[in-house]
Amino acid sequence: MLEIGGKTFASRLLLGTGKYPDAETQQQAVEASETNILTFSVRRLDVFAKEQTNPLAALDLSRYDLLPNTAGAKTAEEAVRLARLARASGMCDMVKVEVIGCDKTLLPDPIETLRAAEELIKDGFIVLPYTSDDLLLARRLEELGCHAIMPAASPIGSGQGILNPLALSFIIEQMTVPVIVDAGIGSPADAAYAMELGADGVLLNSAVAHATDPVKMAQAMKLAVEAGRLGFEAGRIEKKRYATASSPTTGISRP
Amino acid sequence: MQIRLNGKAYPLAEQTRTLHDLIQQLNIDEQVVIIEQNHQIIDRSRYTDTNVQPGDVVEIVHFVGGG
Repeated sequence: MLEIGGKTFASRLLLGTGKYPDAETQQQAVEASETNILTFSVRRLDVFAKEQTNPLAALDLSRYDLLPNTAGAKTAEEAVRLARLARASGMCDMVKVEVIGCDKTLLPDPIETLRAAEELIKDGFIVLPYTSDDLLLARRLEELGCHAIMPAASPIGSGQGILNPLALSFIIEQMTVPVIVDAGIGSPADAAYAMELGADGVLLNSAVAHATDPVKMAQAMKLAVEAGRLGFEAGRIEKKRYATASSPTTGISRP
Repeated sequence: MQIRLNGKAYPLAEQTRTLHDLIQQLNIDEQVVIIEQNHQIIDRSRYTDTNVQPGDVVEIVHFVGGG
């Protein structure tokens, strides 16, 4: 079971709700993923439109724990404001702190992320910061009281998978709070790899939403996360330079 | 009389006095929105007794898909 801030979750896959081709596909993909935690964003309502549409109407949000993000924030103050707006919905007390410092790479601003996390922890939120794969920053975030650390595998939406497994494994090994690999996952192999490295969970969105068949990919990611976790718990064999026979080397019958 | 609503100038109707009236005027479902007035988040239970004044800065937000 995944434990974050005193809550427990059967699924170790956290799923984003953005960029699906349509509401029905989104709903079916969420279902197929068997996730317990959905992420989403806070944005202005188009109050000037004739009719407002609720982009999350197809989802029964009461069945999930909601993890709003602070996407769009470039400073700690903006992130804190977005988090408080999200909480005012009365639907969530968790927040994914996301403070972007570079529009081209969407890499997080470490200083602003740290400041926002500190403020939100003081304010009683369950705080899950999206961060780079820097061990010392992860440590600082954990020391502040963050409830999970969410390092990126590679840039958001890039689908490049895990670019630096060594850096991720340093974080995974040293944190006592859960480590959730967030951003950059492209395929089920990437998700399984993250879990085999010992990650406590994986958060992804584009890899499912932009797949040719998002519903099938959601199921694939669910299985990959489960397989990777089982593999990690089972303990993989050492890598050796030369072959070791699987069949007995004695008692070979010859005519 | 005008307010600044989601970044744009917005004329208030004669009968719009509270946030609740504003929601009615806009024809939106108050259950799915969060309202900030002059940088202060307003609790949903206070919409009926929170007045809207000319020059107020009002932000109405909701949840959208995101990762």
